[in-house]
Amino acid sequence: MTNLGERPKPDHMSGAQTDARLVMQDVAKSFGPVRALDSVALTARAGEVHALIGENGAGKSTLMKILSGAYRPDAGAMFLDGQPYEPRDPREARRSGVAMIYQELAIAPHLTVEANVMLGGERTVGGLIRHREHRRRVAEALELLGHAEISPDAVAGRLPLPARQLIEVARALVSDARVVVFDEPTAVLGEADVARLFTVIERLRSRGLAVLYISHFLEEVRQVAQSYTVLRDGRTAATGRMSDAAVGDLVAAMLGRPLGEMFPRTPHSPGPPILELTGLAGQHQPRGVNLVVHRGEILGVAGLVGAGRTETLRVLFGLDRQTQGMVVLRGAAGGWGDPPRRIAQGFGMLSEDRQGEGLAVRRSIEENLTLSAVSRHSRLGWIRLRSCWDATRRWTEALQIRSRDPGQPVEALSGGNQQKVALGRLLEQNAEIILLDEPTRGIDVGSKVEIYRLMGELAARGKTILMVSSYLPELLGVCDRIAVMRRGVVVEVRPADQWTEHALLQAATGG
Amino acid sequence: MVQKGLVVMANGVARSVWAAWVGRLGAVLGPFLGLVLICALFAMLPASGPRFVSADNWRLIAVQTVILGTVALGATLVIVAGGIDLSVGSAVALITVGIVQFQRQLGWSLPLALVGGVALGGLCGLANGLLVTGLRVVPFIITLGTLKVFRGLAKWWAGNLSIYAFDRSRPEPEWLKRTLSVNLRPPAWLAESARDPIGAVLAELTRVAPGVWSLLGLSLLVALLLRYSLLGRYLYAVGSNEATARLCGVRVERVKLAVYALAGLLTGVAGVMQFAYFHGTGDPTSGEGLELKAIASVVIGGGSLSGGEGTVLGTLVGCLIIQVLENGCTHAGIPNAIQDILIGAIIIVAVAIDQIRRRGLHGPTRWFLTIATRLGRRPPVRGGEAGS
Repeated sequence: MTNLGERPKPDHMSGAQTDARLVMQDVAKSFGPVRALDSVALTARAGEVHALIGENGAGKSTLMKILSGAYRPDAGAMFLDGQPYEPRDPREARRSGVAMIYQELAIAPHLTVEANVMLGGERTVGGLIRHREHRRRVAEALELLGHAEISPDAVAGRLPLPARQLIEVARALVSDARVVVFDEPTAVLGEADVARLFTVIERLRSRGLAVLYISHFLEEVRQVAQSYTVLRDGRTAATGRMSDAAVGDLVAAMLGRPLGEMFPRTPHSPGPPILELTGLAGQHQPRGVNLVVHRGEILGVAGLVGAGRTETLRVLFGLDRQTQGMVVLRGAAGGWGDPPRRIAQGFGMLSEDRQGEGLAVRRSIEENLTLSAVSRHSRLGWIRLRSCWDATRRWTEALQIRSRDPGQPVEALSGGNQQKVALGRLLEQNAEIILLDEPTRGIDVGSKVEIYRLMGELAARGKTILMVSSYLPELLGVCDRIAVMRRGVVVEVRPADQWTEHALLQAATGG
Repeated sequence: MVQKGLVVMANGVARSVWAAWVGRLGAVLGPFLGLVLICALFAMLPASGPRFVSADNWRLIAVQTVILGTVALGATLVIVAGGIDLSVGSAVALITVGIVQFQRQLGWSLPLALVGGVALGGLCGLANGLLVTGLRVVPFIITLGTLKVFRGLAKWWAGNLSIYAFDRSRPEPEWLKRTLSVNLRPPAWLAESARDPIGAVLAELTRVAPGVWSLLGLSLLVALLLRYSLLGRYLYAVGSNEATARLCGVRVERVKLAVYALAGLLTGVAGVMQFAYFHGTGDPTSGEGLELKAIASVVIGGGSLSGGEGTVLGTLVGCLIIQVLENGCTHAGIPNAIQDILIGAIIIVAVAIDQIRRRGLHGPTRWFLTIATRLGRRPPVRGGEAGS
């Protein structure tokens, strides 16, 4: 890969240092008109954990896919131990000694631990697997990781999640990896498992491997990494030694602005209760949610993945089946969940899965914006298109949805603009009680701020917002009150100013 | 900030106008060009040329397209909604048998029997819809089942034989003969003015069979339904992303039921046309393979079997491609076996081209951006964040 984007570079980036294991210089990547990576520089040293920090949408995943050979960069250069590193596909990346451990584990659930660890790197003689050597190597690797208790003969799919993660780490070890990349490894782990994983990472580090640790949990990153690179909007925003950086510096580098401006607040005062959930339960989750929501308030719901937060919204809205409990709306029985009925009652819901559920991405902005209230634009079953277009134009202007025209398919928009279309639908529908599931997941910082401002304005106009989010700063920044869920029930509700990130995590994990 | 926004918009306009042209026209233009190409080919072949381009032959092609076209309109609706209906061929056979037996066994008049045939089609569709929504089994399996069931019912009802509605004592009425006739005479008042050009055109038009006009009328109706009705809007939504439709309060089950029933009614009309085409025959073995031809027409015309895409215009062009190919091959003396191979190849090529067109959409833009980067002038585009 030649250096196409020839521009003056800062000196400290130009030469590979002696102990620099992995060096990335001026890496750029575009998808159509979208510039995912603009100019990324990164140096990870051997025997060091290097943290790659950035918000969702900052370009972390794209960078990782380039590193793993899944994408080829448009410009820039990469070096591995001083040698040019230009993987053409994931297999070549693995051969060169770059091992990836993804959030979605790449494990064959029906195979044994041994078979999984050796997958793709089998030692054979005449086409037959050398079982004894396999077992020795796998056992060695597991012991090195401090987890000799995992049997190589266990069936991978039956192991708990943390053990399955270790299979991948062991795979990296037996393939003599030089760089191990962890992508948000703790997102799915409990607290005790996180500590155990950090021990494993420490062992990898002390063996002289370079570990690239991708995360947006700052506390965690400060604990495990020695150096860091912050990515923002596809650029390297900051880089340095972890010991020299305060949390505030990292946050400012991630957001590109001080935290205060991130969460614009519109003054609003919550009114009387509008919605009461009593023992609301679904088939698996939730298991009996009690919650009172007030008119004109923003109520946040925190909790770990699997705590039943999303399911609570889905059961309430009628997308999942309700098995028990009661919904009281404006003092009267709200009946069982059924989306058309809920919409008629003034509910509106934003799905966490924007592409899979939230939007019909191949249909136009206009169709997506008006879908839940399109009957309002019709008479005797025939649509007045003019009226639909007018409404769409109104919302694209009000929400600053950047598009060519409302007939464009939603998939052509950026994530932030897509999310604004999904939100615009709730406004067009004139929903009174707005259920938001991870409303800012995977969108750029600018759009986030706009969405936070919009939420405040809606609350000020007397709309009620129930928001599920995994991003604690956002919950603390925009909500009036925050409820914490654990194992399918609400364990605690407090005004937002009486919570801290630490307290939320504690309540969520039960620690 | 403002300036940046303007640049984004300006760039967006340039890119999207191009994309929109390719996208909107390309969807129908591709198959249309294919049709033109095939026609040109047959017109130039010495073996088929003169006979192929004659007005009589085109009226024949139009008549031959009526049954397939009517069925394919229903298939378009179903496929747009993300479903599929394999039972239409058998349903057509059942309907022709039904029309005969309504008259012979129940003593209905011919017009009533024809209405009964359409209603029978609607019932077949309703049955498909109820099974699909009630059992939550994929429509492919359900309609594969009803394909056999309807065929069996047709055979049983007809006693395993072709049955006839008309005989010497009860002759076929003239208007039914005319429905799909290829040698209609223009009315006398027009025949006289056949020498001036407008009169000639009108005369030719009056020689087009009523069945063809019915197909055109139904096409217009279905096209309007897809574009301007609430149901049409919901069909595209359900087919494009069922979860989104549910989230937006669309009663997905009702929409599916409606689409199968509607498609069934269209199949009913096709059954009536089949009955007319074979001069009042109820043939329990007719219509075999019609479902595959109909699906092929939709797909050649730009419809997607994963739903959410498909247009009436595209489907009609798809039907014409298949019929012109059959007709042209017959004139050129190309054997039936080769026709089958050609149609199969066209289905594959049409869909492959469609895929390339979609994936290649960003090609020129990407190419442009690469050049711009090479020149060292970074395009001032910040298209937001990475695709997540």
